[in-house]
Amino acid sequence: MTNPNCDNVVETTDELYLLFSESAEFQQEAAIRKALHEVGNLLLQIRKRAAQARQRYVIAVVGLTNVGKSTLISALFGTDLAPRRNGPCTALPIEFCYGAEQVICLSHRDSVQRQSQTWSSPAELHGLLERWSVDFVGPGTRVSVQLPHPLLQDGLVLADTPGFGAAQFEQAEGTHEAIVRQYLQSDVSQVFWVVLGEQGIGQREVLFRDTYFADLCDDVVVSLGEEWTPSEQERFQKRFAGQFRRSPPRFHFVRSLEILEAGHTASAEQLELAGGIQDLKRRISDSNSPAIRQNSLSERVFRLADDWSVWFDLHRSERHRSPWRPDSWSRFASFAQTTPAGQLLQARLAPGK
Amino acid sequence: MMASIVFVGTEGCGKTVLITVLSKLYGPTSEKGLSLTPLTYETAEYVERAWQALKKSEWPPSTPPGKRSRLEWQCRFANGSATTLRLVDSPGQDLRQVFANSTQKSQEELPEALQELAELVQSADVVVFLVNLRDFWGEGDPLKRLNNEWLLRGAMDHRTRHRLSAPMCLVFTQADLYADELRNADIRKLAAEYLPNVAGIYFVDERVPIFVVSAVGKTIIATDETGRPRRVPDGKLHCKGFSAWTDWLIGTVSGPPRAHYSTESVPPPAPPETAVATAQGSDSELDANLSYGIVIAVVFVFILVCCGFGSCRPGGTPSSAVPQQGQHLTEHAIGQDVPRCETDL
Repeated sequence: MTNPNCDNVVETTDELYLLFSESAEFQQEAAIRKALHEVGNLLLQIRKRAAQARQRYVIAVVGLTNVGKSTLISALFGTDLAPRRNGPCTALPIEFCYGAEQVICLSHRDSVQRQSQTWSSPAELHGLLERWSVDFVGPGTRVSVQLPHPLLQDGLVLADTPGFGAAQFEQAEGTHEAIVRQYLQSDVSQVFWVVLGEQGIGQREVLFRDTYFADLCDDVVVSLGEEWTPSEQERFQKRFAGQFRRSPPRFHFVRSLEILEAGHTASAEQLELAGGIQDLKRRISDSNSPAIRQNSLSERVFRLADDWSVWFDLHRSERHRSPWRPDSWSRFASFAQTTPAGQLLQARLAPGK
Repeated sequence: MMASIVFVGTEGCGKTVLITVLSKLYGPTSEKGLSLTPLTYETAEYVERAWQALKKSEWPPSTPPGKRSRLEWQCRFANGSATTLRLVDSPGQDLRQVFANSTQKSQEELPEALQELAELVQSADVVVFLVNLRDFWGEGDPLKRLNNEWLLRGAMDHRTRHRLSAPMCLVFTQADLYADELRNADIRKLAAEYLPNVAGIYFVDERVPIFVVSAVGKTIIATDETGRPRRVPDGKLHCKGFSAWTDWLIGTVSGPPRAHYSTESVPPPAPPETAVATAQGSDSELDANLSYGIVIAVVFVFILVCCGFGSCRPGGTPSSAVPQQGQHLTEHAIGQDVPRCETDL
């Protein structure tokens, strides 16, 4: 059965979060309290994305050093726009966003003034990016590249991030990694996680993902140096799917470098089809639509409510017929009555249903 | 002759908000039978800070335990009489030491400052007990609920130890959060359900009126600095339920004697300066080990010094003061910078 969409995912998750978190404080049974807290935290993640989905939507391409992030972005644009950073020399995320003209801008959150300059060729852009990202590196600095590319319409921003974990996880504020961490936590709505096909997904990468963007990542882009057969791709997925216990991501197997090097030729188009880029572009186009984004998050809310109901049915006892704090449930029910989606959620979460 | 009003409430019951809205609702130019004019800059600033926070959909910072602010208002009644209203707050550990059953000592055993505090609650002409329904509806631990209830019961017992008909009332705060539960509810039955050990003694008749108020009127959800949703005032501040309560308060302090009270003489209350010194001096006497770590209770003491009355008479008709189902109360006129007082809860 299709669930009605929450027109107001943020408001719905707010109310649900209060229901779960207040009930957790009220709850005497430790296992139920823990589960209520867990759902509350998951709701916070959905809420964060829902709030961002209303504003500009940033998809960050993230991964360890030298896994092909910049190459992937260039392959998506069909031209060598993103400078390949073979080492941790630059620390600023570079945002690609829509603009009628090709302009590069440098701004800082503490200043209204922006530096901007037009660019005409990738080589010129690379030069500017290299200079700016070294000269102006620091927390709060933002570099954005505007270009009239259809992939970026409707406010979508694609961000190239510096390689994470080149040496070690540095915790100190102001370091390159601290800047990226801050960026992921405050600006990014969704993450494309790039991993090298030949290397697989190591423990260090999993730690990196779990620490900084597990809640933002639905897509794993497997960067391939050569063509993999479907069975090889399937084997890769099976091997690493176990690391995504809660929400298995989509795997995209992409031959970015090959596509980029083929340039604008017929073989490049064929490569795009075969090399996974088309699939990834479709994912971006989906994210580009606020309605699709909202629907996806709405579905996630319903899934979570279902998961909770199943869990509670298994763990309930005669002593614990309702997991809810009475006044919190009453407030949630009042809110839920105002929308069809809310009514459905209320029915699924109702005590003693 | 002087009179005093004492407000007693645990932490989180909305004292700061209630005081702020009350002093804005009945501001210096109020023509609602009561006007409150700050007498000190500290008082005006205290109210203004809290008021500006509320208007920006933020909660005013709670009063830190141990902090002593002396807040004073000139309180003028419709008949032209003027009084002084003073506010002193005292840490909750004091309340538990004095009133909570598990820690209660005889008055003689209490430190001197707490003895005076206990005396103040006993001798005040009116005591207003503020109760946050969350401490009962929203408390999952039956023992904590009982502890909260017995704190109230202990304070009421203390209040009536020597004078059974000593005027006092119960005010349920933050009613907007319990709109569904309170809609069409018999508030006395509700109070009896959640405060049975209090109700069995004090709610068997209508001697102790019960009021339901919402100082902010409505809350909305906003995120805090960590991104977590929480309820905050909506900033419009359409307070509800104040009329019945303040009418009773005014009537009790300044109104004509009522039949069932008039038969009893009211002993003169303690001079206000003495009472203020009680609460101020209590800080150094705290025994933090007795705090129980549950809810830090705070006593808010409003000392209303009635300078213009020949006598202070308890009054007000409790039954009429309790808003009945469907009853419409007078809606107050509003100004640009005062809360709107609405009739319905």
